[in-house]
Amino acid sequence: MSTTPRVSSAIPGEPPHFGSVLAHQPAIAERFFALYGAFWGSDVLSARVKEVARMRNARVTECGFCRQVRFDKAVAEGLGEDVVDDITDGYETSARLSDTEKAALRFTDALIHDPDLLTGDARAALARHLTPEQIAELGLGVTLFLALAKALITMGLEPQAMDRTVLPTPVPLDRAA
Amino acid sequence: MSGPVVAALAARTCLAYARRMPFEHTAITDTEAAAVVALLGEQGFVAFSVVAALADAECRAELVGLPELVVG
Repeated sequence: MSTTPRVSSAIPGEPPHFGSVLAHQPAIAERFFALYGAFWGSDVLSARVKEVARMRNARVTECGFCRQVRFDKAVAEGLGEDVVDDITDGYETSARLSDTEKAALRFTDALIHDPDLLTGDARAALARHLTPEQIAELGLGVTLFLALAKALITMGLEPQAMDRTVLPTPVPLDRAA
Repeated sequence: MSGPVVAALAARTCLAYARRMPFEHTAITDTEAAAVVALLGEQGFVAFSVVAALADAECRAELVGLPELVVG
C-alpha cells in the first residue's frame, strides 16, 4: 500500500490530503461533505454506533488514517479506547460492546466483506435492535466509510505514521462555521 | 495508433484499475495508478477513483439487501 500521494493538492499551500485532493473536483467535494455532514449531524442513530461501524471498516479495509481518527461526538457518548480495542475479530464476546453495537458490526462485516454474514440470526438481531430508519442510516454510513477508505488508499493518501487524533465531528453545512 | 485503438487501451487500463477496487484495493501499485493519471489527468483520476470506490460500496449495499432491510 502506497503512502506516497498519487495526486497533488488542488489547494495552494496545503499538502495532499482527502479534502485538498478532492478539490480537483469541486462539485464532488461539495456534495460529499454535505452528505457526510448531514449523516453525522443526524441523531437517528447514535454517533457511538456510527463510530463503532467506522472503526470496524477502518480495520477491515486497512485504512490507517481512518483507524487513527476519532470523532468527538462518539467519544462524548462513551466510546473509549477500551471499547475500540474490542472491535476486532471476536467482538461477539465483548462485554463492553452493546448488543445493538454487535448487531451493527455484523451488518458492517456483511456489507464490507461477505453478505452471507447477514443471514438468519444476524439479520433477525439487526431488525430487533435497530429501526428501519436506523438501518438506513447505518447502511449509508458504512457505504460512505468504505468508499472513503478505498479512495484514500488508492489515491495514495495513507499516512506513513499518524498519532491517534480526536477531530470535531462533521456537521451539516448549515451548521458549519 | 488510431483513435479507437487508443481508446480501447485507455479503457483497458482504467478497467484494470477499477477491477482491483472490490478485493485488491491495497495492492494497486504506483505504476498502475500513474497509468490512469496519465490517461485521465489528476482531475479525472480523482473522479474515477471516487466513483470506482462508491460503485463498489453501492454494489455491496445491494448484495447485503439494504433496500429490503429498510423497506421490509
